[in-house]
Order: sequence, then C-alpha cells, then structure tokens
Amino acid sequence: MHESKSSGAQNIALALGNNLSRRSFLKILMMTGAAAALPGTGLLRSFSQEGPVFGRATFAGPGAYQTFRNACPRNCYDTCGIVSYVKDGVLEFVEGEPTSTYTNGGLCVKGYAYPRTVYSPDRIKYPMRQVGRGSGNWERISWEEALDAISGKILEIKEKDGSLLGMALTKYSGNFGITHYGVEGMLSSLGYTTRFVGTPCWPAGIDAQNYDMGNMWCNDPEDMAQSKYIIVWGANPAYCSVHSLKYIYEAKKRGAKVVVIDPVLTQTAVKGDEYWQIKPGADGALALAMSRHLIDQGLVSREWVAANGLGYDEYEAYIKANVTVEWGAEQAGLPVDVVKRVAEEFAAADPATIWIGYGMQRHVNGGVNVRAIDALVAMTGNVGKPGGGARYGHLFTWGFNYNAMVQAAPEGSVGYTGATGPKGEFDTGQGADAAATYTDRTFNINKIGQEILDAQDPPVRLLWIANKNVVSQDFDKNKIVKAFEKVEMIVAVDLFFNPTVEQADIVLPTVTPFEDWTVNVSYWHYWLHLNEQAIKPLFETKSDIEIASALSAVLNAKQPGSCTFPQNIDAKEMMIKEFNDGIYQLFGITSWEDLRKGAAKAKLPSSASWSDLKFATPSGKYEFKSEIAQTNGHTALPEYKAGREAYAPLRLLTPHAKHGLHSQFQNLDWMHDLNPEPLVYVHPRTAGAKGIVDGDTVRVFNPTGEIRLKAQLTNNVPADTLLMYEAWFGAKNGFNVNLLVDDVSSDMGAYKTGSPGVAIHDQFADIEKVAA
Amino acid sequence: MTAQTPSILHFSRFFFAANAAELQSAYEGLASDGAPLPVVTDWREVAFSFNRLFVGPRALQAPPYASLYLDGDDTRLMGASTSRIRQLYAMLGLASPWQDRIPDDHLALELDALWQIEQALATVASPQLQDARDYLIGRLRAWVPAFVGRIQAAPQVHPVIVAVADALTRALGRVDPIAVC
Amino acid sequence: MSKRYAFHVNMALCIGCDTCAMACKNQYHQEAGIVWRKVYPVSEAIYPHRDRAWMSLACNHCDNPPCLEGCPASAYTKRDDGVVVHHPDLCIGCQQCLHTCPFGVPQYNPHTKKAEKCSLCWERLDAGLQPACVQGCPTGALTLVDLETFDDPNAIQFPPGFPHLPEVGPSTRFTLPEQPKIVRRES
Ligand code: SF4
Ligand code: SF4
Ligand code: SF4
Repeated sequence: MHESKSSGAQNIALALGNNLSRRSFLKILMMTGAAAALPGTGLLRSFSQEGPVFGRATFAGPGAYQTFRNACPRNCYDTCGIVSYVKDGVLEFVEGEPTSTYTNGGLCVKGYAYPRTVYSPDRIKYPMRQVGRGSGNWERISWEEALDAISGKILEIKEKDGSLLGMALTKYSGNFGITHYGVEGMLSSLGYTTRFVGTPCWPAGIDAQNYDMGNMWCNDPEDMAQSKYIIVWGANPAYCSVHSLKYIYEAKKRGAKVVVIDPVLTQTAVKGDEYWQIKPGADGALALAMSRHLIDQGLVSREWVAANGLGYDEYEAYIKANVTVEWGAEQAGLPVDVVKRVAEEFAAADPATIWIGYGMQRHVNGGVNVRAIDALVAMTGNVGKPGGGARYGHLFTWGFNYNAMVQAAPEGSVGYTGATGPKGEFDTGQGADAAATYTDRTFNINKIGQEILDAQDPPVRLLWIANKNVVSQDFDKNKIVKAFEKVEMIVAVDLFFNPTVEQADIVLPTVTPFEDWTVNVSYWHYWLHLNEQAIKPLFETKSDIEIASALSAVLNAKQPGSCTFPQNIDAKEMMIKEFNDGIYQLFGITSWEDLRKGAAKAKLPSSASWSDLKFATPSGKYEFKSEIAQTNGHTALPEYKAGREAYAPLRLLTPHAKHGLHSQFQNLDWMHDLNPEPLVYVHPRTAGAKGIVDGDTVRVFNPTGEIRLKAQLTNNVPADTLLMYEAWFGAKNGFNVNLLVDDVSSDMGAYKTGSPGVAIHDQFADIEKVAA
Repeated sequence: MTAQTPSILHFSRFFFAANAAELQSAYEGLASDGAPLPVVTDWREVAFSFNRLFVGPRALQAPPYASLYLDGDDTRLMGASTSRIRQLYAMLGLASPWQDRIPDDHLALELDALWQIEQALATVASPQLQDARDYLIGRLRAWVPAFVGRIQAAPQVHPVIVAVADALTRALGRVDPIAVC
Repeated sequence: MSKRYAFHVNMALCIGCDTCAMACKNQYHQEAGIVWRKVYPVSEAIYPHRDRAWMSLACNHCDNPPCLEGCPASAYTKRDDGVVVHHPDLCIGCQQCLHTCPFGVPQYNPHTKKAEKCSLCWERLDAGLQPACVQGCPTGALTLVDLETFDDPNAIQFPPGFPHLPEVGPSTRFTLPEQPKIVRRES
C-alpha cells in the first residue's frame, strides 16, 4: 500500500478491504469512547448506525450492481437504450438495452464513453459568474445568487421595454429528452420572448417530404432486412447509426444489392456492393436522370402513380422536356451506362428502398433534391411497402404531452404582433393559443450571429443558451462572437467548459442522463426508452426543468405572478406527466413503469410508413406536384435546381464524425485515446500540387475564416474536395469547422420548422502548407 | 499546538471555500495560527485563481481529489481511492453530507477527518484512532505533493494560494505521531 | 470436452467503429493511454482504401503463449478454456512479456508498475455473459467462438499483415474484408 508506512496504518489499509474489520473497528471506537470524542460536527458528520458497505472490482458479478434504465439523448438516429450498472452510488459501467432488438445489448463508441462524461473532473460543478466576459475570471456563486441576477435582469428588461422580447432562447439537440422541452416552457412561462427557431440539422428534407407526402415518416429501419435493393444516398450509418448496419447486412445476406451514393468513399460505402462518387449537390440531377431512364424504358409503375400520385403526368412531361440521362449523369460526374443499369435494377427489385441522408439536403438545392429522390421511390411503387420507402426520419412516436413545454404566459404579457411560423420540427402546435393577441418573436436559429446583429426594438438583451454549444456548432463562428458583444447578459447551461461557456456571463451546471428523469424516443427507430435517475446529480448540477422551477420561485417571490412555471417540481413526477394514453396505446404498455423492465416498441400496423397509401397532403395523394411548395416559393414539381457557385478552389465538406456527436464526446480523454486530433483529408493529387505530404500542418482558409491542422492524404475524397469531421476536441484544441462554414441557407425548411436549413456542404476553401 | 503548525481545520476550510469571503476567513485562521503568510489586498483575485485551480468552470488546473493522484487515472472522479476514504470515514462513524455529489476524497474532507481525529486524540488515548491518523497522514503525504506540484506549475496562479499550499506541505511533513492540536 | 475460446474478427462486417475498444474501457476503466483492445487500420498495401478496413485486436489467447513462458514470476496462467490470464498480484513489473509477446499485447502501466492485458472478460464468461467488446459490437463483426466446434471455411488464422506464427498458435480467427465496385467521378 503506497499510502501507508507504519504498521498501524497497515492495519487500517487491510481493514479498508474488509467489511467485518471495518465494523469491528468502529465498534471498538465506540466502546472505548474514542468515537464520541470525534467532534462529528466538521465537514464530516457522525452517524450512529453501522457504516454502509463499500468495495470495488472490475466486473463484480451480475448480482453486484443495481441496474437502471437510461437513454442516450444526444440527437442520434440510434437513441440507444442504456442499462446502467451502479455500485455504492457510483455508475460503474453501461451496456446497451438488451430488450430492444435495435440496440441489441450494445451501444456505440460514444455511448460507452458515458462513465467518463459523468465523472470527468472537468465537468461544470457550480453556478459561476464571469467577471468580464471572456476574461477567465470566474466567481463561484450560489444558485440563489445566480437566479437573483438572472431574475433581476428579466424584470429589468420587462420594465425597460414593456415586454420580454429582449430575452432570447437558443436551444437544440444537446439533450432530446422530452422533459428538456421545459426549457422552451420556461421561456413561455415568463411571457413572450424571442426564439431562435428552426433546426441546423434536417429541415430542408423535412419540408420536402411534407410537400410530397404530407409528413416526414420513414419505415421501421429494422425492415430494411427485407429490402431487395438498398440505395444509401448521402448517409453514413457506419459512423452515425451503427445499429442500422446489421439490417443492411441481413438484406445483403438474403441477396439484396446495396448501392452507396456519396461524394466521399465512406466507411458505409465500402460495405455496399457498389459505390458512386457523386458530385456534391448533384443529387437532384442524378435522381432526375434515373427517372428519365425509367420513363424511357417503360419501368415506371404506372398503376401506382395513377392510383396514388398527383401531378405525375406533369412531372413526366417536365422530365421529358428538360432532362436527359446523359445530362444528369454528367452533372453527377457518373458514367451513363452505370446510371442506367442501376435505375433498371432498382425498378426491377421489389421492394427497393432509398435511405436519404441528412448530409445530402445541406445544400442550397437540398430540399428539392430530396423531392426528386422521393419521386424516384414513388415512381417505382416503393412508397408504402415494407422493405421499401424513401427513408428520411419520422416524428411518429413523439406524441407526448409536452407538459413541461406547454406553459401559459403570465397575465398581461406583451409580445410580438407580426406573423410567425412553427418553432422547430417538434412544434406540434400544442399550446398555441389562436386567440392570443401576442406571440413570440422568431429568429432564424441558423443565423444567430446575423440575427443578433440586426435585432432592434428591442435588441437581444438576455440570451439563454441550453442544450447547445452555439459558438462551436453554429455557423460563422467569428460573426457569432462579435454579435455576442451586443448582448447584455448571456446565460449558458452546460456540462463542460466549451467555447460557448467561455463567452457567457453566468454558467449553470447541468446533469448527465444518469442524474436525470426523462423519456426518450428516436426519429429513426420506433423504440421508447425510460431514463431513470441512476445516481445523484454530482456537485450542484440541476436539470433544465429544475432550473426553470427554481427560477420561477425566485421570480414569483420578487414579483408575484411573473412566471407560471410550476415551482418545487419533482423531476420524476414531471417525467410521468409526459405520458398519455396515446403513448401507452401506441407502445402497448399500461404504465410508464413497464419501461423499467425494458424498452417498448411502437405497435405499428405495418413496418412501412404510408402503408394504407393515404397521404397527409391536401389531395391525400403522393404529390409529385405540390401547390403548397409553389405557394412557398418553390417549384411545384421537383425540378432541377443548380447548386451554389464555388467561391474558392476546393469544395469543403464537414460531416458528422465517428467519435463524437456534434460537440459532445470527442472532448473526453478516452476518446482522445482512440482519436487524438482533428485532420483534414486531402486527395494525394491535390496535396501533391501544393507540396503537402501526409502529416503536414496546413492552413485551410476561405473568406469566412481559417483553421490550422494536420493533413491526411487519402483518395477516399475526390481531388476537388477537402473533408474534415465536425467536433469539439476539448479546451486545449481550438479546432472548429464553423470557422469556415458561412450561414447561407438551404432552399427549404421554413415551412415545417420555422427557418430554412443551412447549406453546410455548399462551402469552399483553399489549402496551403504552413511552416511547422 | 506550536506557533508554526496551523490547525489542519483552517487548511480544510480554505480548500473548501465557496467564495472570497470564506477564503479570507480561513486564511485569517491560518495566519492567526502563526503561519508566515503574505498579506492579501484583493481577495477577489485570489478567488479567481482558486476557481481556475480547484473549482471551474474551465478544466481544473489542480483538481483537489485524491483519486486523481492515487489511482493513476487523472480524469475520473469517484475512483477506487474515493471509495477507500469513504470507508475510512465510515470506520470512524463519519459520513459526508455531500456523499455521491462531492467526491469523498476532496482534500478538504480528508483534512477534516484528520482534524477530527486529532481533536479526539487530544482527549482520549485510542490506539485505533492513532492507527487511523497514521493511515490518513500517510495517504495525504502520498498525494498532496503531486497536487501542490500542479498548483505551483499552474499558469496565472495567485501567490497566496501557492503560499497556503506550501504551508500545507510543511504541516503534513511536520506532524509526528503525537497529536499536535 | 472443454472449450477453446477465441475471437472471430470478421473484417467483412467490421466498420472500424471503435465500439469494441470503448466497451472494454467502459468495463475496466483503463487510464488514458492504456487500451486493451485496439482497432487497427489495415494498410493500403493490403486493402486499397485508407482507414476503410480494420482489424479489431486484443489478446490472442495463444495456444503456446510466449508471455506465459517468458514470465519469471509465473504471473500468467492459461485456463482450460484457453483464456490466458495475467495475475497482477504476482506480476513484478519486469516487462518481460512486453518483449516476448510477438503481438505487442501486454502494456506496462506506469502507475501500478505492472503489465496488463485483455482478460477475455473471464469474470463475465464465468457469469455466463459475453465479453464486453463482443456484446458491444453492433455489426456482429466481433464474436466469441469455441475453436473446438468452430468450422467457418472462410476463416483464417493468419491474414495478411498479421504475424505468421503457427508455433505460437494465436487463437484469433479472421474473415477478410471485401471490396465494392467503385465508380468514381472523372475529376
Ligand atoms: S465494434 Fe465491431 S464493427 Fe466496430 S470496430 Fe469493433 S469489431 Fe469492428
Ligand atoms: S497475444 Fe501475447 S499476451 Fe496474448 S496470449 Fe499471445 S503471447 Fe500472450
Ligand atoms: S474480452 Fe474483455 S478484456 Fe478483452 S478486449 Fe474484450 S472487453 Fe476488453
């Protein structure tokens, strides 16, 4: 024992490993009066009964742990159920939920790193105030002091402006647990405020599917195993949805063909039968070319489009007049014969499906490109079929009460009087009061820098940031930091000291899933997971709704009636209140408590979405021609739309990483063991022309900004393209892809999410070697 | 108690301070014990440095948790050494009210245990308590130097905190098997 | 008949996702810098696309383990089921096994001043569970097999890039990766 020298100390060290000796030791202390002589009133307190039993081992046997059910809420296709193993109040390890056939007992590299998140000494532990934004001079303050300062600001704004529109919220996907919509609820409970609405993720595709089918609704991913032909188009499940791969493998095993279309030879691409290196943004042109070939060859499912389509004839006429296979293949950079062959194979297979990735809609023409792909699936009669479908995502299982989210404005609140749309993709319209005279003011979530710079009457005075590392993950980092100077007070709620917290005035420490009560569903699979509190919240961390509740108490004490958020909430009760009969019926459970035994899957009439072929469009049909699209400023048909003009020599792609989810996970030391540093991937020919060799430090730059990092040479990327994976590597590394990504919008998104998306992959840059 | 050996209690409270005022009061306790310590003009500056070292919100310069030094794993709280010290507290009939929230091996809690043992030994002769005290001193001597080393090496560290850390090292080095407080 | 446990690494299924490596760290909390299972990229000379084929490797639990033979402290034992166990209580930290293991498996832990390596999760096996890494693998690429009954005709013992040492008898079996048809842009 390195800790002990004397034999007395040795005795103690031995006793520490042995419950019996510990208890007899204490007994002796008590008998001899020594125990009573201990003050017992220091930081440590006396207890009268025998001590609890402690001890630790590697895998201590299946009976040695208490287990809890948790879920990974970090905005992932897989949204895994987790079984947490707790011993002596400490989370020892995690496993995947065994009762879900999707998770199947395993997690991913990120999920298995959770114990490290929870017990990282770098977690934010206490509410703190920065004296001088960006100064690094932080004072620890109590929750009372923090909430006093924040509530003071809120009341000051109301007094000064006559409304709370000077208070703004930006929140996104750091935690998709249903009770975390209580952050929006907190803002609503204060009155009418400014909301950054929309989603940086998938809005163009959401609108596209809504125009075509009236909703975004994908088949159960588990039914891909029945597909005879799978095109994975702009998705990389090998990085972003590892649990989906097994269904694709199963389909292959049963004889299906798998084609992967992606600008990059991804890890998913090498697992298919065939890979196409498409020119970024040319997805629509390619889908139109394939459709033209189907028309030419008489391979369109005439029966299906006649029975279920609206405007198909016009779409066909448009294609015949404007599209040739040669033209589309050339746009995509692919050989004509290959395009024709796969179009024919796709049409011949039954069922055939296309997985439409979120990457391919992050373009100025992303939404209309999704529509063209949807149309290709529909023309072959594959929509509404098990094993078929144009798979993008769904919100089918999200019908909770949003009890924490739906809060009424305090009486007499004054707000915005202009027109507004939905506040993000999860806005179900619940709580919207048609009779209300006022609403919230909405700003584009994807242009936070510009919106704050432009905001007037009132400006953004108080910015609340939750579940979002804005400075890392939003677009045009430099502009955001500059805009923040205009804001009078910034409050960030977070787990780690990231670049956003660095710019905050007050930081509030929050909980991991293991310290929280909530419930989680996926936008991809159809499982429902309970998230129980497995351990006590460390330090002074609080969940989003606990913060809202505490703020409400302070506000009401200062100015009765100024906040409607329930006070003195119980996090578990709040979780229970999110359930309703609809959820119970959908999942075939009688109580939320059933979920303590394992996950539940939605009882679907069919694994296929739209299996009854009754679409949610105005016509009830699959709308090849959408009047709503036209009304919203798009073409009614999924016509060709050119991509963004290059503004620098090389295309820059910044997709999702293997080891992180946005700015989460990659900062952990365990992750650094597996993936130590960011890289830019460059084609050897491009590198050669610039004198760059493998491992060189390079500068990647464009008019938005620049990044310095190491280059890796690989022909997985095309010669005209640079690739780096978005991530936050922790406080010691300033890597941030959004130094290079501007905030230009994609075409669609405003219809269903309130703001258009961002053309994340329509970015360009140059590269040069820098002296080491 | 000798003039040069300030009470372990004041060290404990210093490292547990939540704000400038608590730092100041613990510091004054140390100084009244006779520790040769510099005069402080701006306690807020001390608190900024204290938070960079031990509290946050940035990644800590010198996390005050024993397991990070004793378990060879300096990025995980609640390690094996945390569990061991909790067991020691339990053997003494003590428990932390922050159990499972603040790791039991926070420097201030370990020092508090030592202080309580010394208080008891001042009134009763107990070989068991003496053993516990030896164990605790051995343990503190095993990790505090590495912890103090990180304080000394930290950028922008306030000299007052270095002075307190050095005084703690001296105090732990000086205590002998005979109770001093 | 007793079992002969081994890992089957199916590179045709493996996506190099590092889940297995992290599942091991999740179970054993190895300090930063110590990794018992590592997912190695297959060199481009063997598989023509960089970082696109992988070998998930840990201890090979060899038939004739040189780590065991060379250990002066008898800190290694081989169980009847094939698992090669390192006993930290016996290990004197001489680092002999770091040199004798031809696969570079044992790692020296400077804190404990002892060697350590993959245990094949024998505590989990004894409890009727799968090794943590195997349970974690989302694609079925990493499985635990019993060589007494395993008879996959495509599985091989010495894939290209893996040391060819029949006398040592590493138990790990491999299935080679496949290649898709690739259609690139003319650029
Ligand atoms: S978990 Fe499975 S698929 Fe992932 S790297 Fe390991 S062996 Fe390969
Ligand atoms: S791989 Fe190395 S450590 Fe494992 S059994 Fe073989 S020789 Fe020993
Ligand atoms: S078998 Fe167990 S110890 Fe070995 S690599 Fe897998 S998880 Fe780690």
